[in-house]
Amino acid sequence: MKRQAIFARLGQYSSGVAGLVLLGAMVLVALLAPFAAPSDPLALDLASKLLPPSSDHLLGTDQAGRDLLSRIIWGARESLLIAFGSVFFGTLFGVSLGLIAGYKQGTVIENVITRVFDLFFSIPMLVLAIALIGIIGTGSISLGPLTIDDQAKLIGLIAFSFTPALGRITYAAALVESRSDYVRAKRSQGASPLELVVLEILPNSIPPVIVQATLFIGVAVIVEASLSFIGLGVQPPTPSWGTMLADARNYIFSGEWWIALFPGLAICLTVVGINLIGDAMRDMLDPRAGVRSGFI
Amino acid sequence: MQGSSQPLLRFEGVTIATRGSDSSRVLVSDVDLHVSAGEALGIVGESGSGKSLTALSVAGLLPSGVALSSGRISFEGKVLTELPDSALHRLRGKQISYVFQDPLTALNPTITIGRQITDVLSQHVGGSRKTLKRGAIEILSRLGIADAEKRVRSYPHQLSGGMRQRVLIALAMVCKPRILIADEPTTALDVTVQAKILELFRAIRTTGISLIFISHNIDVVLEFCDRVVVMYGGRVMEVGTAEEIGMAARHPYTQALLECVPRLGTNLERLRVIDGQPPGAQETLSGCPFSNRCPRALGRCHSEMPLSQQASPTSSFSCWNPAPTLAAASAS
Amino acid sequence: MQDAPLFELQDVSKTFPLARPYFPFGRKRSEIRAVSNVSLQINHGEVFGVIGESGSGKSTLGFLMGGIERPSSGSIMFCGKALDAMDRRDRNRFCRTTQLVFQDSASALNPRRKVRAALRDSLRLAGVPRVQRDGAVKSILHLVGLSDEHGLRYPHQLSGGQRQRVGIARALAMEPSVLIADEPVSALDVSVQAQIINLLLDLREKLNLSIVLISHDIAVVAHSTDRVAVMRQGEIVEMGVAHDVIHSPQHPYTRALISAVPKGLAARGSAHL
Repeated sequence: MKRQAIFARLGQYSSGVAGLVLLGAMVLVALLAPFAAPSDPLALDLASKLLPPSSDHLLGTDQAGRDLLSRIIWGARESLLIAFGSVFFGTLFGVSLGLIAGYKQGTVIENVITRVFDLFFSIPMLVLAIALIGIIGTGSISLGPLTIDDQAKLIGLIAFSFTPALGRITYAAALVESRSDYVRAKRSQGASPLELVVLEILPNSIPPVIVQATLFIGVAVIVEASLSFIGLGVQPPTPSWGTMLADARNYIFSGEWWIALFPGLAICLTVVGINLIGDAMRDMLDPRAGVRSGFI
Repeated sequence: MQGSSQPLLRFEGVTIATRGSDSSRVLVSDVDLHVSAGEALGIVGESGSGKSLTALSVAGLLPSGVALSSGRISFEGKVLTELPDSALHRLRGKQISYVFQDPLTALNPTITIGRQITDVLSQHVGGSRKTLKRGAIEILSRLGIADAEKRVRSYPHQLSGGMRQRVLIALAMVCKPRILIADEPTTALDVTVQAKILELFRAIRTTGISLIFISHNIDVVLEFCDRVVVMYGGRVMEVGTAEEIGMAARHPYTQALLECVPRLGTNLERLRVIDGQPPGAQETLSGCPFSNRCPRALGRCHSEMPLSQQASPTSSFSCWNPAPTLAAASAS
Repeated sequence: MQDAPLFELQDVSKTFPLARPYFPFGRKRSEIRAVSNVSLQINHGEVFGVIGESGSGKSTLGFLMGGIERPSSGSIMFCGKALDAMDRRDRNRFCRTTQLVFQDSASALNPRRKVRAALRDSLRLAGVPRVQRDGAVKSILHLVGLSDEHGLRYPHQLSGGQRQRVGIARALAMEPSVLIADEPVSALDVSVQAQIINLLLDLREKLNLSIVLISHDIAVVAHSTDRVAVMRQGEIVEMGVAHDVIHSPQHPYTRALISAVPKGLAARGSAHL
């Protein structure tokens, strides 16, 4: 479907538009961080610590005197980068493996791939992430000559935990599509397996994946926030919404409500926006909209 | 057949349209028909004829976005279109039952067929699990499923198409409805299986149940039904008894249908054809929907929908330029 | 080479292994015998009908002849050459020259590709150079009775009859000499069925094709074929000139099939309601 058509149809669903607006705002803010943030998120100013929202600091300051608004804006960058990145790679690997498994039904490859999926599927995502970080360690890691920085590591990890789910969805669709007549017809006309998988099977297996992947962006935000919250994710002093929540832990009951509320609100709005988009996409991607002729 | 004063089911001027916000498309237009007690009415139509929607509208089963925009449907004198959904719900399954075309999708693939039957039984009849199970086995064997004892534990996909259809019929018959509406019940089945299912329907009819039998196969309908309605493009083209339709059809579409059905026994080099195709869901039509394919179309046909005229006490058709009756009966 | 019949099947069988048995304890892996010891001969330029109900193996037979499935036993000869003895080049030529037309046109076409794109793909696979492809698409569409405008649509935007024409067009893109049509009209409206059958017969004359017409609808087959084979549960129970088989069937199953065909009003005399 053409881009305009996609956006036109997305517009039909007002909730989808609302979601787009929310997410769009966050993304915009994240991209424009250097310009949007009023002050340096890392600048310590112990004199102004724990100030409530005011005209100087719109969202207040945290325990180190850093402007909360700036930290949230920069944190958006961090969180969204990790979220989008992990979903992107998770989709890439998941879809590839799912397609291979679906096309090669009945072979050892299919069994291996699906069993691996099942294996990692059976471990709750967060637990898996925690376990893996526990093994690999926090902060940047070095694998021999390579240094993988913190962000990339997190992206890879969370992507890894998404791969089975997305792979399963693709696999289910690819299984069905691989057996369909149009694939059979093309194969009998001499098309190569690569052409079949990429041109024919992939486009027909992708829609449910897109919906799930969209929803996973929201999940990724929360996973990253959770990991950072317990200290295994983004390492301080880099701001991310999760680390900010971690810091805020100490101040919830002592009355400095703004330190916890605003990062939490940011996460909430972002995830809600993403979910709205995901729902709208699910409705939208059904190619047979309108009155179904089968009923007449 | 039975001369009851009031028909069991009656459609008056029923029009069904999509319920769009800005545009609404008429799918079924101005349908009048009736079914008497114990009678079998056949509705013949191709895709786009509106026959399935007409059937679904009886028990309020129209898909969302599609609704009756005018006309009434009465059942045993009660106007169904005025009943709330809860009242309709009580009628469905009890008095008005459906059998649909594709038994595979009409049955829950994850529940054994025995369970599906006992579920319905328990809702309407009740009893212990053992009695229910025995009831299910009995229904299945009565409907011709061999080895019913074992079959109750099967899942729909393990049965053949014919057996699945029998299960569907069993589910529809469980509560002894007054009218059974069968939408293309044999279309997905093999010819020999179809013959057996039709036998089954014949047996069912002996219990006095009325039947609406919808099919695109005019031969099945002519063989099996008392009266026949021919629909095209959402409108009724012709109504009559089976004999009248089969031998004395006046409407060009009916005649064309009768001629172009491939039949054994006719010796044609090439099959007779109706050029063009039935109207799709996207098209709205003014005038007679068949006018763009009709060999007898007049100018008037394209702009004005013909009014229905009686050809006999039991038959009527809607055409500005009806054909003289076919001289010979349909072949063989 | 023209002396040899188009197809010669000798004792061909095809079994499919079933998926792992339902009960995981020690049951032997069961198989389905889709086609059982089939021998037949199809001549050049013939329209050969295969009649059967579901489970008769008729579709599998079509796939075997089309090269999509390999027989489990027996031999299939195409123009005198055994399929499994063919070298790569002959095999490619065979694949190209026998094309299948599938039953369910809705699933036989990629729902996300426009008709034109799908035809271009087939032409590419047929080796037609890029510059000629658009022109070829146009001429094929016209050959099957469609317009250029139809090429710009998606399958679900076409009617059943139009989709089936596209399916035939796709087969024609390979310039075949044999069309194996598996239930080409079963999913179509009655008033459209005749169009497609007539189209196939016209194409046979225009392009010198041989056609294998597989259907469960005896009436359709009776009208359009020269010779006919009746299949039941994988075996051929009767075979011969179409007219003879239909009008004086020898085998009880053939008779049962023919008598089960609804005969409309003519049947009412005997059946009372």
